Amino acid sequence: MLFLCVGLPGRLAEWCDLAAAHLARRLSGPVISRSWPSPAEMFGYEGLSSTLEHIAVSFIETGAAHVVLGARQPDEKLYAALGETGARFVLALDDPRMAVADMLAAPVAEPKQIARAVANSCALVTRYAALPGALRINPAQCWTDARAALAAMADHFGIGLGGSDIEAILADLPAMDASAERRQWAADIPEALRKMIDGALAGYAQAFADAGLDRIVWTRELFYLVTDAGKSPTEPLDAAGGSRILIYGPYIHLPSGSWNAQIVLGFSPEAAGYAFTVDVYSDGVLAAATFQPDRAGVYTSDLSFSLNEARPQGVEVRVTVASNDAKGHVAFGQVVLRPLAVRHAADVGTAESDFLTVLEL
Amino acid sequence: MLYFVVGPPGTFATWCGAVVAGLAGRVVGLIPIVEASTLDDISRKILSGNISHAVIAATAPGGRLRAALAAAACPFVIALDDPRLACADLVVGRQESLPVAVRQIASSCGAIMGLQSLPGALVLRGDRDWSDIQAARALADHFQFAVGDHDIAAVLEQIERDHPAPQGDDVSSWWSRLVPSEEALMRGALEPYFSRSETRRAPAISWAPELFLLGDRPAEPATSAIDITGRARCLLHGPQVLLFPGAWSLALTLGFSRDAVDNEFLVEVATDRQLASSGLRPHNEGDLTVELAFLIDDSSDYPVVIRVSTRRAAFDGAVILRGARLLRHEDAGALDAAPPDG
Repeated sequence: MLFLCVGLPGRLAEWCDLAAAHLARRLSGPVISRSWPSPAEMFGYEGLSSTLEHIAVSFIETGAAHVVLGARQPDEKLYAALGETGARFVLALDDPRMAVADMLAAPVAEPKQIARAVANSCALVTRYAALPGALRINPAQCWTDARAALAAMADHFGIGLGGSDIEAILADLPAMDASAERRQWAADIPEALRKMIDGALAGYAQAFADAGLDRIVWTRELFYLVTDAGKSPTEPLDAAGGSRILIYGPYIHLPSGSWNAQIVLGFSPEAAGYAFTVDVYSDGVLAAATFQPDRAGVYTSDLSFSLNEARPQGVEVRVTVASNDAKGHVAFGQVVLRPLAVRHAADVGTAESDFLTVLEL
Repeated sequence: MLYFVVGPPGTFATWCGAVVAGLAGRVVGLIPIVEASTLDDISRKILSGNISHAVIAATAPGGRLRAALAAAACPFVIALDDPRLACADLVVGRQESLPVAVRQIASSCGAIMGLQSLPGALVLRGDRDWSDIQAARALADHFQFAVGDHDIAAVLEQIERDHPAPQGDDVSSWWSRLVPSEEALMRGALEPYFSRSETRRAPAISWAPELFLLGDRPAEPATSAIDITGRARCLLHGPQVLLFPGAWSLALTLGFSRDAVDNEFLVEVATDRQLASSGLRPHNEGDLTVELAFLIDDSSDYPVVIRVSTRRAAFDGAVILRGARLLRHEDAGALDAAPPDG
């Protein structure tokens, strides 16, 4: 039997994996527990490998009767399979900023890589909440009433547990009341880092609290310089040097749908009159604009694009000097992403009668 | 735990699957037999069935499943049957058309080749092991089922009731009714797998036009002249057959009418990605053979498809597929460009 726990990397999902493993051990036959993808894959820039295939491979490689799989970046094929089969799984949706804080506390990668990995998880996991087989475990419920969370998981997977069984399992699970230290995390990290994490992830935190995803901000710290991929465009860049890409990144997945990207750039007086191009790229150019700043100042370029499914390497925004003889300096601000929503008229709440009249319905 | 039984669809593979399920049932309780030939299929079945133990009946295991079996070195069974009998099973028993049956059996044979040398493989043969208690014992030992002779006998008795032996008369009668072109179709695609455990120096595989379909009418076989008039498009494609890993050479022979001369055509070999392609521009009326080399590895689950397309709009002309011949690279010296027999 498969005990599938979909969630963001971090302590809540780990707790769910451990709890599921304990539940699986109540059944006969060997149990193995795995997390997918591996940290190297999660922080890397290669395309995601198939979660669905990994389920079969886990059974074949180990000969286990029960596999506990913690899926941190679940792919489209798994989503489709869960939709088709209605299979039951646990969805651990923590505040993604807390997931970052958990990973920063035991540093496994650079903060930029951690924020990117968690943002990728958020984008991929978001859709799973709507699947019929999902049991949503949220942190507030879990931190305050672990017994109820465990009982709900057991019930969801069809494992009968008595009161003493629950106590025995809870005794083996890590303590969960981490609310105080979790509130503290933002105070312990530098301001720029906090902004980067908040920008990339606060929108998802809001969405996971059922308040909708209104915007995502990719700050300059998430991007890369072509001249030095180890650095971010935190300083103004020299536009002179011919036509070329200056800035690219951050290779982060977005939920499928239509999006508006506002790319904020600053130009020095010498850069006025020269052409610059910004584009959104994901397995091909999704949207692009070329413009010439007419004077020094801050400019915003609006690009709209659509994503029908996650592409292997996420979404990239690039800033290019288009004029061969450009001069002056360019400063990169941030990219603000907003979903372009189409809502049912009932959600809009007005004008229905007007439409009925005009359309003679 | 998953217990794999790999073999062409037919009575012997079904018997092997039933024995494994019966024996496993004595140890872990009733387990299902699940048909799945790719990792994705297996995962979907696990998700939909809450499966802990199952017999996986893989009639044509895809490359990625083959690679997983090899990497895991886990025990599995190969149920080999004479491809002709397996083909007859599909046509007589399941009322499949001959081209569909040939495609399935050819895919199965192609997928199974190369698995027999894996350390976890137990190879059983329909002509030798059907309904044999020693074969059932070998299955029990291979999967380490702690069962006694009494259990094995009981399982075989049950299976004999549920899966009666095939009627040899039906198969012989079907075989004798084949017209020469049908026999050539089957022999061309399957003969390399007759009586061979591992193809080393197999005769060429011949894919007859009956195995290909028209590009714009995919329910119709590409057996007659195809009018190329109209926009650039796929004229024909097929045969959607798995080949075993290795370097392959293809000789595809096409006939061109006088009006088709000097038109440009594209011949492609693909799985889930393009493996090889070649442009073709006939300068004379008559037959022309294009040769392509390509490599099959274990990274794809998709069968091989050959596509022939026009590259530009055409005002007149016709093309006819004569056939395709394939050889593994080590045998490519024997490849000639002649169309398949029959």
